[in-house]
Amino acid sequence: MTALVSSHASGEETPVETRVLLGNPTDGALTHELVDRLWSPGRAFPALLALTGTGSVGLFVAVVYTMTTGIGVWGNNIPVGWALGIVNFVWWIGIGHAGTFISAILYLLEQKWRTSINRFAEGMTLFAVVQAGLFPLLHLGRPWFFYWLVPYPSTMGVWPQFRSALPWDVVAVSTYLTVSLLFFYLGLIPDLAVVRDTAPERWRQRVYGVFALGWRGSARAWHHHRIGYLLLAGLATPLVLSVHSIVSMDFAISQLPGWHSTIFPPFFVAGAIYSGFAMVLTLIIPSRRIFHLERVVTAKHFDSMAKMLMVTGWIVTYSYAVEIFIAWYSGDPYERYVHLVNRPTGPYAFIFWTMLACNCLTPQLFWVKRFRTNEAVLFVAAILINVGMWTERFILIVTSESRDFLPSSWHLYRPSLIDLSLFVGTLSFFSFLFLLFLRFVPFIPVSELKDLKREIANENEPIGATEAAL
Amino acid sequence: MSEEQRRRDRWRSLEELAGAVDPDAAMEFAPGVDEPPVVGRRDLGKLLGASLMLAGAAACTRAPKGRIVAYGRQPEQNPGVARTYATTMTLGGYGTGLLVEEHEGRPTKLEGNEEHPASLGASGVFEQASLLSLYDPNRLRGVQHGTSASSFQAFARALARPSDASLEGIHVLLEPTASPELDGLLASLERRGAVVHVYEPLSRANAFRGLEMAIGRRAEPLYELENADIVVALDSDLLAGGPFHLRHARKFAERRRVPSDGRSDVGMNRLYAVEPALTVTGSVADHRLRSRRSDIIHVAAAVLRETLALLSSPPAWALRVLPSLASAREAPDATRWALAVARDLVGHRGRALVAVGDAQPPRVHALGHLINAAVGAIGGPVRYVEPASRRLGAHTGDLASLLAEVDRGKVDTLVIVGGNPSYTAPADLEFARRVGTVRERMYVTEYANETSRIARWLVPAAHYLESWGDARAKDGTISFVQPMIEPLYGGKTSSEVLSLLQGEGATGGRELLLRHWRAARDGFDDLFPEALKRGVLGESASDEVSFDEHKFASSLDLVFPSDDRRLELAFQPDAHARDGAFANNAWLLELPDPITKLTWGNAACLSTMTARRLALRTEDIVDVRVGGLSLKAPVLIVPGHADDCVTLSLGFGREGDEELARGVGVNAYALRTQAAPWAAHGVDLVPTGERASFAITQEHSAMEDRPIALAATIDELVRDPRRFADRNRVTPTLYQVKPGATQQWAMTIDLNICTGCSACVVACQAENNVPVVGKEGVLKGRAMHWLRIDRYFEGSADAPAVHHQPMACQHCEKAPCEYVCPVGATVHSDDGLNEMVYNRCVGTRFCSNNCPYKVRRFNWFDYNRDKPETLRMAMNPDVTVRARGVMEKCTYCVQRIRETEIRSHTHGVPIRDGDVRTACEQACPTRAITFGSIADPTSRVSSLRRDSRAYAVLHELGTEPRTRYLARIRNPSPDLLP
Amino acid sequence: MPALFSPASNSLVRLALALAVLAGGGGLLFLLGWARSPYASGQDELIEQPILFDHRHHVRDDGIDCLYCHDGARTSAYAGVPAASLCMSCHNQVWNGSALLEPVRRSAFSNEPIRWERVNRLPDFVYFNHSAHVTRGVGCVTCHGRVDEMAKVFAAAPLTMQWCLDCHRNPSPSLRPQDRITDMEWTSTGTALGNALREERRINPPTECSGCHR
Repeated sequence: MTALVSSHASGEETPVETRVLLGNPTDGALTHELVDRLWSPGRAFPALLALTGTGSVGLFVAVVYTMTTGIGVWGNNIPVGWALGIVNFVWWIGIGHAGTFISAILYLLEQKWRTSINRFAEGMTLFAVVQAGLFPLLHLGRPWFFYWLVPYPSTMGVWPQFRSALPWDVVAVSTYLTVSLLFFYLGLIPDLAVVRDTAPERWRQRVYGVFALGWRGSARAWHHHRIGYLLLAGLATPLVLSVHSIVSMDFAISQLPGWHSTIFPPFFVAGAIYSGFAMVLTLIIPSRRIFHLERVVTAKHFDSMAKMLMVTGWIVTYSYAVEIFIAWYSGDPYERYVHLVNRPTGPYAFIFWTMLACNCLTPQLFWVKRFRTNEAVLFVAAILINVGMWTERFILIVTSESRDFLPSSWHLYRPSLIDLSLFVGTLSFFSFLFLLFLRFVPFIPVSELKDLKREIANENEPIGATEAAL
Repeated sequence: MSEEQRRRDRWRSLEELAGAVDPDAAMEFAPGVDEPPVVGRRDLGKLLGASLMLAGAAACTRAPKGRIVAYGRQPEQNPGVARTYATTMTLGGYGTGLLVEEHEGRPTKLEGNEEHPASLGASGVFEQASLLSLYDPNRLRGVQHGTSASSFQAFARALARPSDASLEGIHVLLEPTASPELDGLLASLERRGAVVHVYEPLSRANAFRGLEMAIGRRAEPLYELENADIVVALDSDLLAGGPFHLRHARKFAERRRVPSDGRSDVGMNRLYAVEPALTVTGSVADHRLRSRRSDIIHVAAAVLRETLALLSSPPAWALRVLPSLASAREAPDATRWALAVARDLVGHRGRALVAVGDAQPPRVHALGHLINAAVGAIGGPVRYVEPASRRLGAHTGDLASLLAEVDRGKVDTLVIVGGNPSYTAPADLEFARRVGTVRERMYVTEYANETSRIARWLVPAAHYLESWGDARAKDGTISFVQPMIEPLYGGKTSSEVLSLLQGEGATGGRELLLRHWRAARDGFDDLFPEALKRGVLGESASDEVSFDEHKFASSLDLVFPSDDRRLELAFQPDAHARDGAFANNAWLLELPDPITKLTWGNAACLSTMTARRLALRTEDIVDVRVGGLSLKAPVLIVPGHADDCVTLSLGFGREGDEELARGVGVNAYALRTQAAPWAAHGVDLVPTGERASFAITQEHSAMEDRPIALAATIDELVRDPRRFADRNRVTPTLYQVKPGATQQWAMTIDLNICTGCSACVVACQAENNVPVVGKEGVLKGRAMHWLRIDRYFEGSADAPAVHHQPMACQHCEKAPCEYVCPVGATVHSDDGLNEMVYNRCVGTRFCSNNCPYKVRRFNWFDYNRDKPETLRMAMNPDVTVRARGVMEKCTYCVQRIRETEIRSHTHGVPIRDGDVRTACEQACPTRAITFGSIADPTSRVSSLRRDSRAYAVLHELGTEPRTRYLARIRNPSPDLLP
Repeated sequence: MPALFSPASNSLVRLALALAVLAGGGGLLFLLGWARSPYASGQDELIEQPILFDHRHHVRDDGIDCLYCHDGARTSAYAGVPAASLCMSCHNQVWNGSALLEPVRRSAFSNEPIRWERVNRLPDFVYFNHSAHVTRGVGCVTCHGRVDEMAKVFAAAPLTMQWCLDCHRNPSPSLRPQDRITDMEWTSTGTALGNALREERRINPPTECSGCHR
């Protein structure tokens, strides 16, 4: 380690914050540093896996119970037809967005700080979307007929109704899942090959070999890979905007006070990226410590992500303000009641204020440079924002529904035990999958880093020197 | 044999059985006729199947198509076509004529009988719900002797007496009845020494005694509200309780209608009510005075005094009563009120009446009749007729005398027919303990209940839909009871049981009925078929009674109770359980109370002020203590309740074998004594620290200044007849309207005459197989009623204005639910219905979220699974029984619409206005609900939509609801305007 | 170090991928096909009845009209299966000794029902009404096929919703004169007649959901 650090010459001049890669290790060293951990799991790993595994089993039990007994085991009622099920759905799908944002948009924008965290984010996206997909299915009264939302020629001579946003959802989410998966895998192939070549045992070599699809790293292969990757990035970029816009329309197309709002699509997308970055931080900060990634995940990364949090955080805050202002300005008594009375002072007021505190105040920390690079602060802030974004969905869905037009039908919602165990379960299942990801997949894109290393080197060396080298 | 067998086998594959059976037929089949494309198609099917690699699997995987069970002998009715019969339901001894819809011999729906004076085509909650009681799986099955099952034959042996034997020592205890047949039977038993006692917890004894005090003889007062401009209800729920309440409501409503142009208040009546707790009648009154039950006598006295004072020429009897009236207590607010009422009464001489509730002591009834006499109501809107039977209006003393006999050992055999005295008898009589000494105790009952514990013989009672019999209405009109179905549990009618004492062995109900009537009326056999068909026996109403004006009020001694300011306890019949008879009826248990919206139980109701004084909150459980008796009851604070008094409804806290009733609510009878059957003083409410939870269907009673249930006074309407017009306009739209069908269905609901009685809610439940979700379900906010009645309070908590608003699917032309359904399970029909297609629904519940009226209901569980066989029989076969996970809602009774359309097609007759009636419309006592086609500008619904009071709820949303409301118009007295 | 994979493995992977795609697509196609097959609808499936009843004999040889036995078809939602007593109205004269008719006689005398196997079945949430069709010019054969040529009756139509709708959206071809309702051989002389009949009777079949689902 020390050898590595001392051996490099050029990097020192530039201030730490701007560097996305510390030191100047050889490719081989970098490979070993990032890949060897795959052969030696940490002591905590089995314990954590067991813990999250149990939670996942809990999820499975709750799902089976709901499916066999009926949605009635949830706390939902009339008027609150949607509750935690959809809250969780929107929350997860939102979280997914940061992954795509980082790996696709930042890639097209050639942001260097993207490289070492993108696989991380993509993994998160994938697992978040898996979680998200679970809930719309589960919250159906008759889940076994979910395929009626898919347009196909049926013997009933009827089709889905395309005026409703829900069939759009099906398309949006499934597309998102497919593209995310492809993008994730395509980026993974070269690294799988690296792992294959460095694996100690032959069986490991074979297993990773299969997934590496015979990658040899030939120039031709790299050439095609780059093009494919670029194309997919281009494909994924609009999805970042479209998917959550469509999800937002599940609410926006309705005329329920609190849902019936044109600001939803941009508002939802911003919120999504906001929560997504928060989740990336929540995951990467501990991992950095555990796996000693200080070299590849630097202050620069934290700094940039914190700034992202500030930007998106402000967009979200602005949206809140606009919603309330429009409610007042429109003069519509029902809108006014929701935004000016029910949310701030109603039975769920506590959650409303929690939301404001978490989502609007937290990011203000990052005006301070020190906080932007302080792991502890970042971690706590990220957690708070995750909570805040979840409560936002709760406020949005439950408060609006519980008190709408006719006071005679007002009724509160209380989550049932199953509701809660589903929530805990989905968190566990997500963690479970993510642990496996950390354990068996090269979650720092080794090959791309080596690339990056060269790039940086080229930038730092004078042109002449390069020519001389050639 | 083997030859025969061979050919049989061959037939299975080839078409040769005809040969086997009929040698001649063989040649009739030209070759080739039997190898039609049929065979080819069959093979094709097989090949296709094989190609799909399913040939093997299909046969065993696919479920069989089920069986068709053919009749052995053709029945007279046509399977699949519903038929309707007339019968009579008896409640509190009085008959109400009903029509029964039956499918393949199963009664599935009850409607009122237009021909019957007590119904006029309408039906109430109890009539509607009595259908479910017929199929109640908890009903007593088979005769029991002691703890062991026995037979009716064995019972007959135990009870039967030779026809000449004396019946000394045999006592019969039954509910009040006006059945001529049963009356005759009882009389014959009495002649032979049997003693007949009558007991009912909701006795009308006070009414009869009070009238006797006034006019000096026993009579039945009839109120003809159609002739009354002014109606004063003293603690009387005459619009929703007691005999003839359906008729009262209908006639009241006829005088409530406002001229469409709102030009003037021509003919619009005015209703005053004085009562302790809000009742249906009080909730629709123009002026309501809340008063403790025991204080109402003072109000009555004040009204009489003022009335007499206002009269230019007071009647002769006035001198007799005036002095004693002076001793009545003065209550400032009440006096002002009484004066205004008196002015109105005198101002409308001959067109005003006062009605007094059964819970008031005889003296108040007497006062009421004096007022009626003073304002010339008698002979006008009030008529006195011969009581339908002497066994009506029995006094508690009758039961006491039975127990006295028992104590003296005079009772050898006690036959209790119906009722549930152990539960309903005054607590201080200790009925259950004292009758234990009787040698032979027999009980004819529908349920194994509290009373069955003390009986040695239990005989299942027949439901009226299983019985032959007869009944009389309040005005004496005779109607017959005919069975719709064989007794499900071997039930027997009262006559069938008691006739055993006549020594002719077991006789069928029909024979008993005919025997009585043939003897009573010659040529009866000619009348009978017609009477059965129509449901009433013509010209059978009672005659008016005559009385001597000079003897008027002579037997009346007016002494007023000393002023007792201590907390008062008042008993009410329950809106769901009545006196307890319906405590096991799921529809009624889940039916929200018209005022409190409380389901699954009762409560100790208090006014806000009294609750504050006693530091009690809603859902606190208190120990109600009065005169050594005590009962734990949950507190419910109700607006408009009188101060210093607590009301408890009877009929709950059951301990019998009725599964649903057990443990629901609290038993108010435990506090009821002979001395204080309706109101007790000196009550203590001792907090226990425990809490209850109320299953209330409407948690929020304020309208939040939203335009929902609109109202105005008649003057306001006259001043500005267009005040509601802008909520009735067509809103501009970008969607083009689709071409309509010949019928365009729509509904109007007149809030002015809706009393909130809730008959429509039960009718809807019965017609549309609406499930019951239980207390837990209601608590979770999952009540399934397609039609609910929203009740809003307006104004002060002490004297709130009450608004009832029936709320079901509004069938919006621009329905918010339709465009959000991902699978098109709720769509619009050509004839303007918002259709709900259960079998297409996947249950996203988006439609409900987007419904501004929140009238959609979701099947959170499979509510119809493990439903007892008998309850399945109550289902309406014309309506799909909804599965788990699908949305449902009001369909405008589409099954009735389509059936009418098909009939009009097959018979080639056009559909006329009124041919299609929804269940709610048909039940409604006041005809507040009107259904029809707006494609026909002359239809009732079209003209009502043009009414100046017509408006759409949440009109500004542009949903264009097909259901329109007619604003409520109040007719306050100028003297009482603040 | 020997190579990880044999050269063949490339082709193996490609094959596997191809198969996966095929299985996916083919599976869907198969399901769509199966839903339309007689095996899903129960069409054309021969059904064993408790009594060897031959429609050909009764309809063709004896010329008994459909409505003689299935008289509910005119007046009720259900066409109805005749009561054994109705069978006996002939069979106490004809073949009154036949062993094959023993169950019928038993049923007629003991009033204990005969349990026929159902041939055409609609789900409980479908409210089909025979009288609405039979009295409006839709013949028996239109839905039930040439029953007069069936030794054992089988469902002649798939009874899928699509199948119902086809006719409800375009009823003319299926309309016939009222006196030809039970005629098994009658065939339309062309669309003109159908249109004329539709015009004359103002036939406008419901295509909204509540026409059949209530």
